[in-house]
Amino acid sequence: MKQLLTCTSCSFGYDSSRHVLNNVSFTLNAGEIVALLGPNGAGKSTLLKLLLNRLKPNIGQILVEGKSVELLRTRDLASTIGYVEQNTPRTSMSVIDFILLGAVSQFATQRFWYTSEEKMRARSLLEDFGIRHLENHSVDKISGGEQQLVQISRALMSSPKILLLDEPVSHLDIQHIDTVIRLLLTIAKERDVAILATIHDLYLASSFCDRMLLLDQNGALSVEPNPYLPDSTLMGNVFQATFEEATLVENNEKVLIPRYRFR
Amino acid sequence: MRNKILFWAVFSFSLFTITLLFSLHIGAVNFTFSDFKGIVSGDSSEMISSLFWQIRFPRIVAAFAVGASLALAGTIMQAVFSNPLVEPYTLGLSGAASLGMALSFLLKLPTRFGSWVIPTAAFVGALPILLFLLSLGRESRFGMKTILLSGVMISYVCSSVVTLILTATDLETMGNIVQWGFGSLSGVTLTGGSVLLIVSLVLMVFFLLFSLILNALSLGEQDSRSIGISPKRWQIVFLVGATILTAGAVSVCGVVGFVGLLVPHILRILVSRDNRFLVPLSWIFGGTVVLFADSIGRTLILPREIPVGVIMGIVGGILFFALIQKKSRLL
Repeated sequence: MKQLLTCTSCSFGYDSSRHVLNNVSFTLNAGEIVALLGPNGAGKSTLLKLLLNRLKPNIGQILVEGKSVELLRTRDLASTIGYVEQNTPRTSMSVIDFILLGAVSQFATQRFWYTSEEKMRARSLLEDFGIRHLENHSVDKISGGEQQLVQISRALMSSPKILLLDEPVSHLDIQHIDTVIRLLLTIAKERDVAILATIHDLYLASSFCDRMLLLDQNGALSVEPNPYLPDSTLMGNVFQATFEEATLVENNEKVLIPRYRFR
Repeated sequence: MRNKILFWAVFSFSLFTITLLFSLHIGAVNFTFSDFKGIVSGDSSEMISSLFWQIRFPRIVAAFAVGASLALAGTIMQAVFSNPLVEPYTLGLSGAASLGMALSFLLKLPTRFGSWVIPTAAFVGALPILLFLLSLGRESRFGMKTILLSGVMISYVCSSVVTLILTATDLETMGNIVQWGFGSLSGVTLTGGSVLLIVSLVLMVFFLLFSLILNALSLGEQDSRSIGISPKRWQIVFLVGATILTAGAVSVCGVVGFVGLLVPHILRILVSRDNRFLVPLSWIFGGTVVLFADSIGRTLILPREIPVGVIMGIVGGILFFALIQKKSRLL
């Protein structure tokens, strides 16, 4: 499998007294979906910013297709790594114009119009996500979930080789989560795109990802090789919570769920 | 989309043509159609001819160039800062440029080195404000409220220093500064207006070519990076362009406020928020608005004139106030 992104022994702290990330190492391979899990404040979003060269590690190195991320131009980085932020910017731009901006990094020469091929691609993405009817709506007038779909569409406009998603389904209902995950699986498998997504829902993550990366409160990363049934002790240590195995009635499949006791 | 472009191209050009004809006709002396025929064929009297070529025509060129430059500068600044209330006047850029110019008059630089010193001095005067704005960026620790208040303070300090210069200088310099200080187009030269017109046209074409980048910048620094735009570099390019336009306009006729606020704001309501529309339309509408305002200003209380800066100050100031009322929650 082709390695697209390598993070080697990266440590980072916003101030010298405390490291948010400690000696983090992992790789992302073409065509795989990796889920990044961890409690709030563990440094998941920080790690994504490091991979995007928006923050520089204090120690360690990040390589994108064998080249140091620091040497890549903003434009080249954007056409290699698509990034979907947690929050959508407040703008009254129309949905289609917002998505089309994702094609700008692909322009061979500067222009102020889009080709009919680019417009068709944007419309087909809207179609795939079932939001074609929102094409001319303002981005700030649609729901949070729809905004997330619009953001993912824009990231896909540049046909990136790597896709980084920060909580991509946090605002989505069950039906839209299903749509997004199916689309991500198709993109990963058919176009050989490497996908890294931060996610909070353990059961959801184990239902689709190929590998699980776990960041604990100290910013240390561990890899759960079996995403279908993660190790309960490991998960307990990462989240400082108790997990238990449950069996689904339908097919006797074993799943790991957090133990909530409110009653 | 194609129909929309065609409609606005025809509409803006028609409006400009009507305003131009009105402006050519009206004034202390109303030119008739036969006067124009005589001016073009060279059969008109010397007085009519010189009145047209030395006073009316240069003034029309300058009025359009000043309006086009300021409206374009406003559009650019509003996209870069993603705030509809910023423009050369409210950010103190115009005030600082006029201070630079006043200082050049005090030091008698235009007399010593030529009139090209005036726009240069205006640009140099505006430069510290440009650097200040660049240091802020869009997602600075200061809110927009602070930036706007700083703009008001900068304008106030600059106009106070200009007044100080006025009290300490001779009558000739005082005359020069006062003429510019009012934002008046009387006494403009064809050279000044034409150079500004060409510069603003070239920058308009440049900004139009890069208008998608301007659209990306209006989403903020983080999002621009995700799209593949290096925000800092482009902010510098666009704001330097806006400063050149502001300094050019101020060096032609002094401070004319609110054009950069009024024109883009109306266009955003009527046409689109897309900078691919806003850039060319703010250029032509800005020019048309100031051309119309100046035509009214020079005929309303004949034989006296109301400087265009005063007209725009009153109309634009009221609109600015209304906008603040509406947008205060955004600040």
